[in-house]
Amino acid sequence: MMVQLLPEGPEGLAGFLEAIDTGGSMAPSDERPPRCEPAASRSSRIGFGLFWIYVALYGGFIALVLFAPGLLAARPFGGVNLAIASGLGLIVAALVLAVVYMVACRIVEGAPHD
Amino acid sequence: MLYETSLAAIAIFATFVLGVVGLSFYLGRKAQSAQGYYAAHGEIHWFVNGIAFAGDYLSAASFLGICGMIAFYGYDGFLYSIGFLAGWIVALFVIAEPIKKLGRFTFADALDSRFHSRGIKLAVAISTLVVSIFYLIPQMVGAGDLIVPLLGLPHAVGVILVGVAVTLIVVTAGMVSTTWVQFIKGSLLVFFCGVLTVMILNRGLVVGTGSLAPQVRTVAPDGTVLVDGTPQSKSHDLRPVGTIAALPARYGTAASTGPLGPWEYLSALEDSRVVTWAPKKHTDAAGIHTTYSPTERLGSDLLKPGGYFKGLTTGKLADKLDFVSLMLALFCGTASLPHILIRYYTVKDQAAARKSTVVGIAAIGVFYVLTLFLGLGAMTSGALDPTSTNMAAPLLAKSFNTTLFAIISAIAFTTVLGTVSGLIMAGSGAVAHDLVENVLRIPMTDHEKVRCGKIAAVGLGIVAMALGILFRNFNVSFLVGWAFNIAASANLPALVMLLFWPRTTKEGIIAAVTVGMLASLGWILLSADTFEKVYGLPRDASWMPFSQPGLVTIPLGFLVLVVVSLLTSRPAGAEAR
Repeated sequence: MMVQLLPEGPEGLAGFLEAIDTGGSMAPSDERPPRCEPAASRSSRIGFGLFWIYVALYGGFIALVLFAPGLLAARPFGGVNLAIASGLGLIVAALVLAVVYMVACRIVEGAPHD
Repeated sequence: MLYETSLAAIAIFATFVLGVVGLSFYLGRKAQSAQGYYAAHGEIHWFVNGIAFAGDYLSAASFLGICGMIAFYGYDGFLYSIGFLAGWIVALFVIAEPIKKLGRFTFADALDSRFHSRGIKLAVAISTLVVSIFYLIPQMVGAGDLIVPLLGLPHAVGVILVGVAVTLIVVTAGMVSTTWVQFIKGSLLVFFCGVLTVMILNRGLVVGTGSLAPQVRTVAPDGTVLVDGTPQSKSHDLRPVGTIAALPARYGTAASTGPLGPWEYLSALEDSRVVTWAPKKHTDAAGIHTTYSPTERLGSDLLKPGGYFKGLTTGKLADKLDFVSLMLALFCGTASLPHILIRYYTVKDQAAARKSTVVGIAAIGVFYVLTLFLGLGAMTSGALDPTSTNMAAPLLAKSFNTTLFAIISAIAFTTVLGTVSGLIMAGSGAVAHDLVENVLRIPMTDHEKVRCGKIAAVGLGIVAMALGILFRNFNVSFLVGWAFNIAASANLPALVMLLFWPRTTKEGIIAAVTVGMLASLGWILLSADTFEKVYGLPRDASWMPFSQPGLVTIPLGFLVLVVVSLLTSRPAGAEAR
């Protein structure tokens, strides 16, 4: 648990920016809502879309294990079975999706600092 | 099995560990203020943070547990790798950025940000403590399992060693040191596992020699240990296991395949016949007998699901549900782990945070591919201890040479040091900041807060050591899987609904966290595995149909949150501020 031990700090925008810079938290009674940015919600939607893609892959894998184990035993990849190949595939897919997300958010948000 | 100690191995190990601990003391001297102690000044570069993510996340479970599970059960150990990594997708795409946009940086503060309720702080602090403790248990068990083959000392010694070392690090140095410990650990772990993988591929597959007679280990009523009827000693001991019975036909009569590429290794293994060993227990007047019997299996049978979750091939429903439950808990668990999420915020901004998570996922992904080969290499190394899955990886290294074994053990040990430091930080923060300051409302000066945190850290360390000794017979990934179940059941419903459902109320959150945690914890404490291995009671006495609660308790958390929120909903604008 990252504990914020700053004394009750400055509030408002200055406090928010300082909080990001120093990694501290805002004063607990801060009333200001978080900044709303169109770019931020576009990033969220990209994130959601990629998330559901992964859920489909992961869920598909689980379904294969439960209902088509024979298929997983098949060895179409130069002697390596589908079970191993799909496991490795899921690992690679996670990385690919993470990179896609990073790049897409960078494009959508434009400036290097958001 | 009993182990020879090697002074060279111990020397290398000690140098390594002292080096890491010394480094953390040095870096820790810079963290003077309380803010520095906990928040690492928010200055960590994204690449360093990314590797530290990996170091934080890749605990003893990933390294020792998954290797061991693959070595003994085949593919099912890999399921843990797949699940663990998949959880990052939930963490990155669903949780991390919305939380940051709330303007909150600690887990409890995020959950509490809308309601400022002591009830929420209490529930979440307790859930953090429980999850941290359950995640600590496998690390301590792993530490013990590292010390045994290295020093030949009992399991409890390793547990106590790591407990004391970590408590020292945390109490004197704090967050900055844990970030750097984790960065160093992450890099070294991936690098040396890479080295070991190259050596495995270079060795190729070798036909095993040596006896395949069943072995019996007996614990007599007076406590003495017998092997095949005679007292255990260095000259009369259990034989190491894990060999190839026959290579694929295409290698003819050769005793070994020679060096293989990674894909060839997998395909050759699938065509080989492997000797696996399974234990069977029975008790009579002479004591508790565990018989380890060899079975020859086709590689391709071992490299598909069903080795551990036997119901996947036999059709037993409870095993299938257990499997789904585990995959769900692993998927949901990463984002719910308090000690993982906090690392997300030690960088400057959103873009840096995403970059560091990508680096983390890449490092972790590479590592899991390597552990697949480590596990398979251990399976065929002829060096496994039939009584312990957790020791597979270090023993594999020992089968190559002692130096590598000492280095890998030292790295694994620092792995445990790093993870345990992070967990104790999370737990002591829960106690000092959330419980004492926010719930009990005891005012403390900066200095007192840090001292309170340190006292909590020592207390947690002691609890962790005791439990690490109690749970020593479990595979560590399995134990971590349980921690993930509790985290996902207690934390995820509250977090997700808070972020995405406006009608969440504070009572809903308190109820969801409490019910999720108690339900999953209760399930685990009443499960057949706990009955058998911790309480020493018969498995059948347990009511739980399978061992992973997630499939039931995660939806339960969501359900409780929705129901209680709807029951306690207030007109908009009247929410407690």
